[in-house]
Amino acid sequence: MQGFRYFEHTGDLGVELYGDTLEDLFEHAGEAFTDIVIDPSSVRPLQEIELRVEAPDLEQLLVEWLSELIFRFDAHGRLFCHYHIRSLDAQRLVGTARGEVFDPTRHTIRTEVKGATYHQLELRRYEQGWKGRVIFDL
Amino acid sequence: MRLLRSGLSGQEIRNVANGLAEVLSLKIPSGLGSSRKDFSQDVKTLRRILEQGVGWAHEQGYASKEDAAHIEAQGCISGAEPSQVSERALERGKSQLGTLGSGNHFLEVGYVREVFDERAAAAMGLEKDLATVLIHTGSRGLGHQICSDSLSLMMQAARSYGIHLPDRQLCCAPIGSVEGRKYLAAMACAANFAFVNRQMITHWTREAFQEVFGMVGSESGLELVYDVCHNIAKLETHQVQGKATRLCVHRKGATRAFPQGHREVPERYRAVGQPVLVPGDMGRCSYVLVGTESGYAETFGSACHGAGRVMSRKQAQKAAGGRSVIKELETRGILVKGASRATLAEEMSQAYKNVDDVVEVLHQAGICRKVARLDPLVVVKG
Repeated sequence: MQGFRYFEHTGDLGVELYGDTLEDLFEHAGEAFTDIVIDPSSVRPLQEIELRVEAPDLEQLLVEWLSELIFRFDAHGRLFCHYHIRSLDAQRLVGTARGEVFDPTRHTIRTEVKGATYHQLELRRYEQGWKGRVIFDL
Repeated sequence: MRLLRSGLSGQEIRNVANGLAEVLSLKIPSGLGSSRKDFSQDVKTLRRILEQGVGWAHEQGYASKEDAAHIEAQGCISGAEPSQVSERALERGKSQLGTLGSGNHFLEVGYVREVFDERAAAAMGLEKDLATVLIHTGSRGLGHQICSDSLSLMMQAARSYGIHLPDRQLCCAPIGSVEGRKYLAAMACAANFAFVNRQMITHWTREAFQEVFGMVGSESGLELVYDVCHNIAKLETHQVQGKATRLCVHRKGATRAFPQGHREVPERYRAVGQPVLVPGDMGRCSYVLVGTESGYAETFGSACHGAGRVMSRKQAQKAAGGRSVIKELETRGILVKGASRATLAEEMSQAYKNVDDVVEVLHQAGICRKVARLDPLVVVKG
């Protein structure tokens, strides 16, 4: 099963996230971000980089994680096709991401993401795992 | 949002539409991840740009004094403090000056289809069939990063000031607090960056016109009519229940619309009112209006910045299905360049309210007065 699903939001774009574990959910959040900006199948796993994010609580950590990915793309053109969360607690995330640098001649353009927002942000534990929702500012 | 006027006619643009679209899209990078490696700024220069806005562009020969006189706040919001802008924001902004970005941002060459107010149009140098250029873009990644950085800070501030938030995106701090003042200083930097971004696009648009129309020297015939912000908070004095009151007016998705006689309206327009630019979607048209006294009293001198969406982006993509939006526009004499398939679908006419109706409301309600209608000929999208 895909770990995320889009939902309608006028002007912006919402994503519902799922995961058996919290780590899964954060990895799916990364995959959703990639899917919004580009065709993920066009991104090759050529380089791996380490990503570290901190925040005062878990919900904010999710937004900061996505903000980190937005920054890596907008400032350095980095696109990722594979995410791995190595460790995660309520205030800190350490993970790796594999991908390559944006190449306009090879990559399929989709949408530019301005930022991840806190609007209607949710992150909850359910019997079957974790569920969350984030709205991206496009 | 910025409007330029040319000395050319709509027909002269139609005659070279393909060539002009080609040269414009080469000179002005647009789309996802658009950047200008050839115009990358070092941190020191970037900080000067954030502080001085179009003053920097003038010093470098990219803007005339006339240009600066026809920009909101002369192209420089005071109180900008580059020290309040993060390294990350600077890094995102350093190669993005002179780029459009994607989504609803665009550069549009069009012509004056109809004039509603001869006197105001004459003050702006607009007449029927004259070719115009509209530029819609802002502070790009630099502004978005300032927003992200500020959200984190405001989240803490809201907690420390005991502000209850119905939604975390509404995190905030009192305007006069340290956090509030720091934010306004960073926001002014983003606005100044946006002015310079549009100025650089203007510079390269002038170059494109010179090239395509074989003009000599620095002559491009493109003059700046007006440049106005559409997402900014400003400290202004307005009448509230009969008393002059200092307010922080936040115009989000809205634009300033000051009336005739206001001292912040450029001298050239002081007798008619500030030009208000309301773009429609790429398949319809855009409007030039002027601010009014009644609008100033009722809306603190503000008007809508666009028509507004009726379909979400995903809905629009579904509705567009297998249609060729680009071909549909072409048959109506509108040439679109540089747009991705997704952007074309998201930005098609059906995804937006009809700007004619929206502008009619502004006009009938007395918030603004219609001056001219601009129809598109060549559109560069992201």
